[in-house]
Amino acid sequence: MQRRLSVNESWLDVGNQLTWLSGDASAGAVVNFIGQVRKQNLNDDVSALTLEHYPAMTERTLHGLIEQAAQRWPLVRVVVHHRVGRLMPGQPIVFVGVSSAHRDASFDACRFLMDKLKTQAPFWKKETTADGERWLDARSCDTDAAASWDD
Amino acid sequence: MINILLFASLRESIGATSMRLSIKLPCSVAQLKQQAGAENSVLAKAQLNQALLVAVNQVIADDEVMINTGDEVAFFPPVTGG
Repeated sequence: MQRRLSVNESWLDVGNQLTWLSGDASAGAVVNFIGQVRKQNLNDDVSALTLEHYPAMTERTLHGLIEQAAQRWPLVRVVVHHRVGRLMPGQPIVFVGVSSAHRDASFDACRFLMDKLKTQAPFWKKETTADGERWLDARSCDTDAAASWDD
Repeated sequence: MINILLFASLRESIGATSMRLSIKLPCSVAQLKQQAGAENSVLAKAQLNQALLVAVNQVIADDEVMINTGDEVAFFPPVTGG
């Protein structure tokens, strides 16, 4: 299995990542997820989203999740790219992609990686609205989704 | 003496990127949290709200995990990436 893992402030080029992800023809299936900054949250317009992170622990955690996915499903390529720093509405925050011979593994592994990332990877979002800045709260639906993979 | 890294809203509320706590090592995560809460009201409140996670050597740790001299310890709120 080949992988690409990045956590940085650089621009996330989703086209570039998807091209690489699709580049191994031993895979017949390619699935990806993009998380992007919404322009509204909790009835307020969002002017910016700032991602703080715990350097080194983010890479370590994401590397571990990729390893878990590779043990569980027969994957060909995996991409996880998570941006940090100040992002604008409409910009991509995270790109998660997988490829495999057939589609079941790709659909499942991509969902697994996102569900686990949401509850384990040490990133924190802070929104800027007209009223100032606020930290976003974790959601129980994310905890439930992550736990559902442990059955 | 142990140095604890702080992140996100905890970092902001406490006003520092790290804090030092005087505790005998090795200790458990539970013991560390108890002492931290006794010494710092922000951390006490976070625990009451179930909004305090602990990482030991960059792995989220539950209450039974033991902390030894030289371990890297961090306190942070539930994560919100992705």
